[in-house]
Parts: sequence; C-alpha cells; structure tokens
Amino acid sequence: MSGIVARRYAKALIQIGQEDGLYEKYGEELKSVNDLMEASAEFKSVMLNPIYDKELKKNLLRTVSQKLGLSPVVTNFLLLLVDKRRIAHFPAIVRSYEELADEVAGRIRAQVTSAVVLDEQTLNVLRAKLEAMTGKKVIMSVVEDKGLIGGIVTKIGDTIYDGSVRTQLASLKEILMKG
Amino acid sequence: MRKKAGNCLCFAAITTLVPTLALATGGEMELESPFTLLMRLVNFLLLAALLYYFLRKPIKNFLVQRQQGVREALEEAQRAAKEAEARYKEMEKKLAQAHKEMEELKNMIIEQGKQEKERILARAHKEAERIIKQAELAAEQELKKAYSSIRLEAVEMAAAIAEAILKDKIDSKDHKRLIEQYVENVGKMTS
Repeated sequence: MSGIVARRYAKALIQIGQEDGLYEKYGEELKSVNDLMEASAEFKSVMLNPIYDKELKKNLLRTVSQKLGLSPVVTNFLLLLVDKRRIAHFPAIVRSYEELADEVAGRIRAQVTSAVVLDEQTLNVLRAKLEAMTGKKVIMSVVEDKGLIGGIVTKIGDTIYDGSVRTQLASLKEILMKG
Repeated sequence: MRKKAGNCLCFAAITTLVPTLALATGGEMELESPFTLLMRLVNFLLLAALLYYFLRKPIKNFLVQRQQGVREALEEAQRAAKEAEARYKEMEKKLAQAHKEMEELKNMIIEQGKQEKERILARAHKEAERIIKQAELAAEQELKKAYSSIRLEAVEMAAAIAEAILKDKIDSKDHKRLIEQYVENVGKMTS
C-alpha cells in the first residue's frame, strides 16, 4: 500500500520535473531532505510522527527548505505531503522517485558485493560490461562481504548475477544431497 | 344285600336276648316267665321291623352311593393311570426329541465353532501379513531416512571442511582470478 502511494506521488513530481527539465535537481533535493532525516533523529521524529501538529511540521519544512536552498516545487511538494498526511511515506517516495528518475534518464543501479576490495580499474571494466549488457548507464554501489569467500555478486533490480564461491559451494552441496 | 340285612337282624337279636339269658342264669334274680320272654321277643321283632322299615332306604342309598363313588374313584384312578401312561409316553417321546435336538444343536455348534475358528485363523493370517508388510515398509523407510540423514551429515561436513579449506587457502591471486573470471563472464551469465 505504502509503495503504491509513494509511487503515485513520486510520479506526479517527476512529471513536473520532466516538463521543466529539472527532475534530476528535484531528485537531489529530495535526497538531501531524506539524508537530513536519516542524520537527525529529532527532525525525522517530528516529520513522521502523527502526534505533531501540521503547522509545526510545515514551519519546520519551510525553515529546512530555506537552509538547504530547495526549489519552490520541492518545498510545495513537501508541504502538500504534510497537508495530505502522507509525509510518513517520504522515504518510500524518495526511493520511488530515484527509480523513476533512473528510468527517465536511462540509468540503472547495480549493487556489487565482493569478497575483497575492488580496484578502480576492475570497477570500470565491470561497469562497462554491465552497461553493455543492459544497454543503460550503470550506477554502482559497492559493498565488501567476506562471507562470499571469493568472487562477486551483482544485483540489478530483481536480477542477481552470482559468481561467489559461497554460492558455488551451496550448489555443490545441493548436487551432493540429491545424489 | 338281603344277606347282609339278615345278618344285621341276627346280631340285634343276640345282643338283646343274651343279657336277659345271663340275668336269668344268675340265680340272684327270679327266672322270667315264658310270656315275658315272648313279649321281649315280640318287642324285639317289632323294633327290628321298625328299624328295617325306616333305615332300609337310607342305608341302601348310602351303600349304593358309596358303591358308585368307589366305582367312579376306581374308574378315575384307571383313567388317571392311563393318562399318566400316555403322558409318560409323550414325555418319553419329547425327551427323545429333545435328545435328538440337543445332538443336532451340539453338532451345529461344533460346526459353527469350526467355521469360526477357520475364519479367525484366516483373519489372523491376513492381519499378520499386513503387520509384516507394514513393518517391512517402516523398516525400509527408516533405512532410507537413516541413509539420507547420514548422507546429509556427510555432505554438511564435507561442505564445512571445503569452506574452511577455501577460506584458509584462498589468496590474493585466487581472488584476482575469480574477479577476472566474473568480469569476463558477467555478460554471459543467467541470473
């Protein structure tokens, strides 16, 4: 339910952004507010907790908007979320907006997990491979996980490309179990 | 009947005359005259005649009735004896019939017992076969389960050993090789 609501609001905002050509900027602004929420537990609490008054939330958002230098569109969007009692869905809206912005820009996000730290050259080669494979610009986030034992796992959307030793061991184990 | 009445009269005459004769022979009293004796005889005959006249019919009736009663009682006794004999014969017949029925019943019970025994034995054999089959199946399943459990344990152990060895032995060269292989093949991979 939250996902549907978030996607609807994110879609409305990105349509405005596409019309004025500022959807990337709006995305960054939304992300900066979301980062602030993650950084400040008090700010997050006031925004997401329904016991606080609407006006208090709106005044706080206006102040934040001024400090962060948010565009009027994003500021009004945040105030609308407070009016419509949808501010609790803000983190989900930001995620949906990122996905929509990536679609519009022809980008794709890849989460790369590796057993060891990957050097820049390897990352560039891997990005190039993934871009060639998907036909889209790839934005990679890299995580280190020694539990893989060796190799790499890449997750793009719902698709996982698993080249880890851990998974190979698990496959071998499964084959042995089946006999 | 008539003879009996005569006897009665004789008995009455003796009983009346003897005391008189006894008194006459005693000596202490005077002998009665023949006239007196005659009168006594007449008196007695008169009494006898009166008795005969008045008691004849009732006594006769009584005797006839008694005779009739005795006859009837005799007939009744004969009839009862005949009936008893008939009943005895009937009872004997019934007893024989009962013996026969009892024998038949006994045979029937024995036959039924035999059939029941066969039925029980057949059922017991069938049940025993079923239990044996079930036990065999259970044993087979247990064996499979044990085999599977041992296999699982062995595989788990082998995997754990392999993982430990790999973790211990894998070095930077291996990591590099694995990464290069992955980068090389990522485009050809299926998820």
